[in-house]
Amino acid sequence: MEDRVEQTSQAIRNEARRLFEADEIDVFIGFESGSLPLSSRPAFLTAEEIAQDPSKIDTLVWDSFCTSNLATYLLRYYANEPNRRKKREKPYPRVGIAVKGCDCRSVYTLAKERQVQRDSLRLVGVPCAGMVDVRKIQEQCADEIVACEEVDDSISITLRNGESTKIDREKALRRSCLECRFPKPENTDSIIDTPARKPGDGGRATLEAFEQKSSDEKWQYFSDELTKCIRCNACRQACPTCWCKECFAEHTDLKWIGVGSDLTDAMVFQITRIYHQAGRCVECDACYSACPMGVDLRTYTNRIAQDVHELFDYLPDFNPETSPPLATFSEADSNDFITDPEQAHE
Amino acid sequence: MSDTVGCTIEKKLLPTLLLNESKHSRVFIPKQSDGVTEYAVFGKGDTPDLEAGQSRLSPKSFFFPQTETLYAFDYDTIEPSASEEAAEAPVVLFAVRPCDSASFELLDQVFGPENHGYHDPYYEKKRDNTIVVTLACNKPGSTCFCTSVGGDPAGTRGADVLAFDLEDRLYLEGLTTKGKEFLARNGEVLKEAAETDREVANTLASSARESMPAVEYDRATVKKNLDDQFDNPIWEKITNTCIGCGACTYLCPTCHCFDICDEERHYKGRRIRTWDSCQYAQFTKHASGHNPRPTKTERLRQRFMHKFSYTVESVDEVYCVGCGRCVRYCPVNLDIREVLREFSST
Repeated sequence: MEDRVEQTSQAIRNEARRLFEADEIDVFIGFESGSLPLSSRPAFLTAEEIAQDPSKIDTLVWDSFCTSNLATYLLRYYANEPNRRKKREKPYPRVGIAVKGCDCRSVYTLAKERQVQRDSLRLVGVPCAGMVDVRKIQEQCADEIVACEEVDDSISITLRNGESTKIDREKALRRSCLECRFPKPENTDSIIDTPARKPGDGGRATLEAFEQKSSDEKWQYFSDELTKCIRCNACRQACPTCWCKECFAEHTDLKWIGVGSDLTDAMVFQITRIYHQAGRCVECDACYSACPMGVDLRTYTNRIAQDVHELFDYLPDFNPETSPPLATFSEADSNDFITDPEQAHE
Repeated sequence: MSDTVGCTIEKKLLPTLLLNESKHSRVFIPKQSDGVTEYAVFGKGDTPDLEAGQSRLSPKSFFFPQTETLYAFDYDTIEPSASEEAAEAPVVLFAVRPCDSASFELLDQVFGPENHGYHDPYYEKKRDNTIVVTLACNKPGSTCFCTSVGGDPAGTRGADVLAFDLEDRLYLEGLTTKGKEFLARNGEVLKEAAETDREVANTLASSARESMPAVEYDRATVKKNLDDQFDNPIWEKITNTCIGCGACTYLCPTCHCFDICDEERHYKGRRIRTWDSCQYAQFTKHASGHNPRPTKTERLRQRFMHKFSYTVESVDEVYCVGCGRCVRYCPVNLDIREVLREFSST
């Protein structure tokens, strides 16, 4: 049987080609091989380019390094152009996009928030076998990684010192992928025939373990992670649902937080960023993957997602009909989060 | 390499040397934790990790910290900041990589008197009081490209002392008055080098040099192309993947743009200088609300124009030392080397 990576990549190329040929899309967003080992990066193919050189389709790949959440790139097609009048002159471009389970959930979240137009999208669902956490692979290597090749369930690594090693893909997967509840995208316009991994527990076990820690230990963890933060905003920018036209952190007429590198400012920034994701975060780990300093706040994004699920019975999934809890009110809404200060101190 | 006869030090004596220095200076050495290398204060019992490679954050922050208090004030008075006083203490930066020490010379042209006689006391004091011991790279990383932008794995730019790692000992050469004094005052742990030591150092340097891949970059051609093709739509294509975070500029040893703002409350406060980034929408936003760089495209172009055109014109320097941090840590693998290649064809 053909290798999974090659097979999936080929199927995506075929679908993209079909969409271009049928004149259903103006642009296709997928992944291409990056310039570094263990990296695949977002790729943008336009109908013009493909008309000139159809072989460009073959640059599309789908391996275990497609960590970016591509939904983040959709926003620009629907945004009003800066420095210009608000009325649009051109229709929305028709965009084809390859989506993992998480990307697809973000697309539906954005559609519900009226940030993208579902009608103008062609979602090509790619059942997800999980993406790797490059840091986990690096940890297992004694020298710099200079080349890699993925074949089915193992990744062959070549190191700078000439040594080579094989890594079990499963052991290198991102935490979010191991715990993912929705590896298979739904409500897409087409779906690639490739196996998805078994759904995980949504991070319940990891959270429960973390919650066994004492308050001091938790605070220490939070402080240690935030000490690494350089406020470069990679987490915010990588996140599809961080789309505020002006981030609270950038308000200057009324300052919410300082711009310096005080730990408290980094904390307030991250707490607010995470809190703004309540009912919207799809736990794709794009924020973690993007961070140049390796700040890991997944426990908190995860906790917020769980809270919304438990309190409001809402998970940002593939259903376009359900209303996000922050956009609706029901008398049946839980009030449990309103704590009685008297009781809380007992 | 200069003509001075160098000296050597056995590696096991390094802690003694650093301990001597730490009696009158703050000594910083490379340390590794969780796979991240950083410069940390040398304490008794420490040994510098000479295998640690490049630090994640560039050491520019020793002279140009991410946040710096310029002065504190209240209703009636202005107090010099603690940061200015702290700058009086002598510092030894041990085992800085040649690309990073070269960046210090580039920063000197911005913050130092070379900049039309302009004086930045905060920067200058720290620079004057610091001895830079540069460690030549025997094993350049796969993303390093210093040789392509005028640097060298055994480059002396910005260094007071140049050190070579000869397995069991270091070969050292004093390059500046400060550097020579540094070696002279540590004579008891140093030995005069044999001619062969220097030969070995030379051999290591040339094999490191040869191991580095050549990046297609011709300064004049790229500058001309950048200037001529300011409106080339290729910039939009290059910007496609960019998510607009500032990781590249924050990790860059030569990026030096800053913002100044007041943090105040009740007639009391401090004026701080913080890193800023041309990649942020707010960077050029006018008070009127108009933004001359309204989209990511103009902002990304600015990063390249500044490094490879404007500074070539103004100070005859390329503001890239080829450290490769932006290549390695860009969340979406937008590779500076590929952009240079794009603008290299005549």
